[in-house]
Amino acid sequence: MRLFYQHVVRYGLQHKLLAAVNVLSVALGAAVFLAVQIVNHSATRAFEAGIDVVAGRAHLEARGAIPVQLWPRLKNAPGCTAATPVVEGMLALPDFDREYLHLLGVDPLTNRPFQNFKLQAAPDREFDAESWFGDPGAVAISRQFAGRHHLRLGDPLRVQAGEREVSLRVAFYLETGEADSHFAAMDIGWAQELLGRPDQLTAVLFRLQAPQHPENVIAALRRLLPNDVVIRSPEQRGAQVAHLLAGFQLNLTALSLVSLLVGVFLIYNTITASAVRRRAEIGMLRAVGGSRSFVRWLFLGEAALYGAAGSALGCFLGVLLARALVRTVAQTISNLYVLTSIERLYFPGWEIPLVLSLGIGSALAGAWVPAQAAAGLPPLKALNLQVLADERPRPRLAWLAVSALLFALGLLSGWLAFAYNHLAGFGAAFFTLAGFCALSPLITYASGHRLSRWLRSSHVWRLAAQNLVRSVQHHAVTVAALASAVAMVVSVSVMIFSFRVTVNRWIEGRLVADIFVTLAQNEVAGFQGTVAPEFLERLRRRPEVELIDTYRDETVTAAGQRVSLGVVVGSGRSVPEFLGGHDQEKFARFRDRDAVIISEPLARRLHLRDGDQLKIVSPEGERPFRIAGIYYDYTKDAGVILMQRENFLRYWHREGVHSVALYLRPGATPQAVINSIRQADPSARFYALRSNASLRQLVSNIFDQTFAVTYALRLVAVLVAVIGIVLNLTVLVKERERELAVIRSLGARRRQVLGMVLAEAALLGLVAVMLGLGSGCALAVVLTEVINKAFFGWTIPLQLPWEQLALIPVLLIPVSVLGGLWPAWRAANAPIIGALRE
Amino acid sequence: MMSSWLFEVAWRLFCILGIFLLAGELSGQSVNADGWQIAEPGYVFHFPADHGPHPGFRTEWWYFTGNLAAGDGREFGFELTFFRHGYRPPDPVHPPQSPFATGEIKFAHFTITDVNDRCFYAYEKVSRGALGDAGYNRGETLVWIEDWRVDYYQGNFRLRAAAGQCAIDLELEPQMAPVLQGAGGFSRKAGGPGRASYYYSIPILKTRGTVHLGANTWTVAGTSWFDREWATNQLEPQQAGWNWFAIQLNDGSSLMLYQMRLKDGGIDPYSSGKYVSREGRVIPLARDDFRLTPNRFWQRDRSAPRYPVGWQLSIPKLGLVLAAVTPVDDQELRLSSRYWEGCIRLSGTQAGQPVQGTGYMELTGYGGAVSGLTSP
Repeated sequence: MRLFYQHVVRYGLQHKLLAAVNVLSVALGAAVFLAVQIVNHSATRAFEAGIDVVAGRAHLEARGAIPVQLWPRLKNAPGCTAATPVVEGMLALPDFDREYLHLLGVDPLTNRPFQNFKLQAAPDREFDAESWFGDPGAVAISRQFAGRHHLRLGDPLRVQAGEREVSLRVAFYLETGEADSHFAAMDIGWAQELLGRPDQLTAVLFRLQAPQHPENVIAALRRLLPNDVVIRSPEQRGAQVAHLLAGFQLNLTALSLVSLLVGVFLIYNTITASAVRRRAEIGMLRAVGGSRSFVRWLFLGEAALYGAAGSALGCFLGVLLARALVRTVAQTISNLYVLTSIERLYFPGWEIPLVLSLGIGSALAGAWVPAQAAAGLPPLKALNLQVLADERPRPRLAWLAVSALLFALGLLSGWLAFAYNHLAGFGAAFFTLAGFCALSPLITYASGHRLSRWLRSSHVWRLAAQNLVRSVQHHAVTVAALASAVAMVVSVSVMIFSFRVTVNRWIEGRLVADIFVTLAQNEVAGFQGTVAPEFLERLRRRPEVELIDTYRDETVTAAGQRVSLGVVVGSGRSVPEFLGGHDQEKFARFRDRDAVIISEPLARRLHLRDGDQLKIVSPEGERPFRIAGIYYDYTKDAGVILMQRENFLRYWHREGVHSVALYLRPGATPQAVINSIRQADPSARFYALRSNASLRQLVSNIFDQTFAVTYALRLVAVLVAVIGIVLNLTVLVKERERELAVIRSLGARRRQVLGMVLAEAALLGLVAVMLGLGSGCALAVVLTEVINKAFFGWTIPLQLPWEQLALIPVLLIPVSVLGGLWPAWRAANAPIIGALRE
Repeated sequence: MMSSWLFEVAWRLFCILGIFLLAGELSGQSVNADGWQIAEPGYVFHFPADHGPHPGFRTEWWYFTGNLAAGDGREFGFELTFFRHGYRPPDPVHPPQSPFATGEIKFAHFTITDVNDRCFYAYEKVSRGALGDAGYNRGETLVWIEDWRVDYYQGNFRLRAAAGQCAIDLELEPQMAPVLQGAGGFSRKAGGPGRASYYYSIPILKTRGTVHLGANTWTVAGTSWFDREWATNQLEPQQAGWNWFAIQLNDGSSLMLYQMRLKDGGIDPYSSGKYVSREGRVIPLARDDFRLTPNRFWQRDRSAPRYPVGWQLSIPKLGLVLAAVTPVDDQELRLSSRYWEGCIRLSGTQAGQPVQGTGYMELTGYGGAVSGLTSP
């Protein structure tokens, strides 16, 4: 123990900066990992809490458009001990920008066995029946929401539901525990009135006599309810959303692990350096009888200490980072999946041991090889101070074989990702990256050789290049670390860019109308409200309007899965691009009776092809629809079915549309028409009227929000890599103090020594950036062709963002020079005598 | 949550009940600031139309209690009461479209007292009356909540209710025309305008039918009491609760007595009653005409309300002295509201002659401070 203390702790204290840098690199990796875990977990919990508020204590819930007349029979369904009706809807709040309320219309007379929230009518009173039943505007809002908008009990609250603007009264506080503060509640009757849905329930909740055996009750309810109403347990609904989010969350986790991987390389470097510096010590230890395993454990212990300290710090930083990331993640989830607002961060207790073991584990993994090498050193050799330099400057060609093997594994994983399990896609990414890292010794060595020949005119540069060759084993690891980070930056940039180009092209093809109209509330809370038929008719009759397309958003069960169904009346101007071409032909078939077209992600998910039958559950039962084509689509990774309105009305009998696209006659300018509609039509204030350009801007903003987290993670990886450069050069300078002193004593000026180290840093940066660019592009192929397709089912043709890629060396090489500044300054100012005497 | 507001509703109803039993005077019909109709003197009752609901008023109830006996000597008491409480006056111009949107809540209490086994069973139903769940005047059905119902046909009432292990199916035949309480059915509750109710009773209904208890069914016969009242009113903050008696004596006379207790321990001057002789002569009783003295108390446990379950009752004006006892102490309804309502037995003398009777007694406001009493 004393030896361990002297070896590790004292050494660490003597080299505070080195130790700190090491700890920080592990900490950053651990922090990113933890932050992503916290945010993922919080998102899932936020959603689950939302389900809990509405249906937490129900054994079953029937969800869908339920005719209100069914209620008396539903509540007396055999096998049910209690039932309660629910109406849900979204309310826009004109007085608060981009705010909404998720209104629950509940029946306090029947929901008692289900109730997962509390009301507070006054400080000393929970409920006030007088308000609840007697005031059609009495609403309960959460304290958090009230606090955010400075609302108090009794205050008026303007809301919009469709074309109805109503002033409600804050009559209660709603306490929902962990759930979203956007939940609001009012009496089911007044909620139906407010939402304009007096004849419909959105859910009925049930408690059962035998919750373990719901089959008979489900069968009985099935006979009562329209076919497209989904009957399942609230947990099943939660599981479906969790499943939906899983792919997205896994991607974030994988990205976060890259930072940890970079940390592994750094630890490798440190332990190698530490071993090299202390060869004499090792020799002595071995000479006085210290075993090999003891030496190994000393170095592994050192790494473990860094790992432990780093991950402990990482836990702390992770929470801070999670706070910073949570908004963007919530926004992304809302954009892509379900409207979510994450208001509380959950730090699951089991994450601490996980992060600690990951941090320590990665440190041990990084230290294993150098510790093994140190342990394997014969005592005599170790004691021979002359053998300070690396023994085998020329790296083995075996690295090539290793690299080839890794690439082969990468290919295999890629195949597995499609054939068996999506998760193998991450294996493909890992092996590709590892394959490039394995090339790092050879490339560093070769580059050093080549560069020293090219740069022979300058002593400083030549020496720097030669150092690259001489310390190839050190440098190779630094190069690998930096290259991994660069690869991540490059691959993610390439993927996002490709995605963006593809989406832009898709927008060009699909968003062709001049003006888009939807209820203003829909822009905040998703497609909830339908365009009033009168307003639609007035739009249709406007002289500037040539054609109108409409869109209705539904969620249906198709092939046993919940899928978005878009109901369109197409003018035919916006023809989607189909897989396999023949767009016009397929689009014409789309107009056939009982035909649908489906988006590419859905086709991949359900393994469907052109001409296949897709069974969709309508209120009248399951109906087969013929797939007229599979089109490229980037709106929902769960996939979309498109159906013509005539086909939809035949089985669903639902008229409303959620959005409208207007095509103007030649000569009419969109903005002028929008202004004129706004002036002429008093209903227009309830609608968002967007010109084509404005909608494209909106789509573009949503796109950026979606990738905001990715941008943030990218930055952290680069930060860790730059720390690596500082660390590596510090170690090298330390190691070569004696050599540098010799150079100085031979007449080299401080400036020259400074220049030499900086030149080395620059060369290191150069080699790493080049390797990173290469591996990054390869990784981008894996991301777009394997992971994206396997997880999301999107076809994204690879596009290279040349400008961004060119910026990487321009930015990173100077950064690595900056990183070398401090070690260089130390090298230049080291006392010659002391160093020579050592 | 539910319990507190239901308690509040029930409490208000009971308060109003008490307050209504006061002498009244005459005037026209009008509407208060909230849009509710208010009781005014001069109302002309029409039967059976007035057995039906009066939705323009804020509160209303149909109150049946009775004492029954089976051929084997087994005795039962029962209560079946339907309440209507309005939160919002009906809007005939823009009625709400949603069947759930309601301005009023309906609720009912059903109890059975098994005298021989000294058991008491109490149940409650609450409904907003959406989609036929509860309501009034549907064919022969006067009022119902789910499967609890009161039918009225050919001048008789039929009560049906089932809950837990109890059920009743009773045929009630009025033995007299409705007795208008207060002044011609206008029952003043306090000094202010409109502080009154419309109130009538049928004190004696010959009753026969069946009582189910667990696996057993008894064919029973006996006497019931029917109370009807509707009003729009505000509460008096100083009132604490009341003691109410509905008594049928074996000489064919009946007696309703009502005593409103004030928070300061006194008795409200508007406490009153009405005696109906065998011949149908109606004698109003003012506060000073009768004296009620509790002589026995019952408490479920130390923290529970303490109810005066034994009474000495004297009405010098009628030469009537009665002792009221209960065969079952625990007839406390512990539902959304907590009160004591149960069957009683009476014995005493009238003008020196021995007299006996049965009846029902209601004791409210013993559960401590009650929310809602002082609110508008």
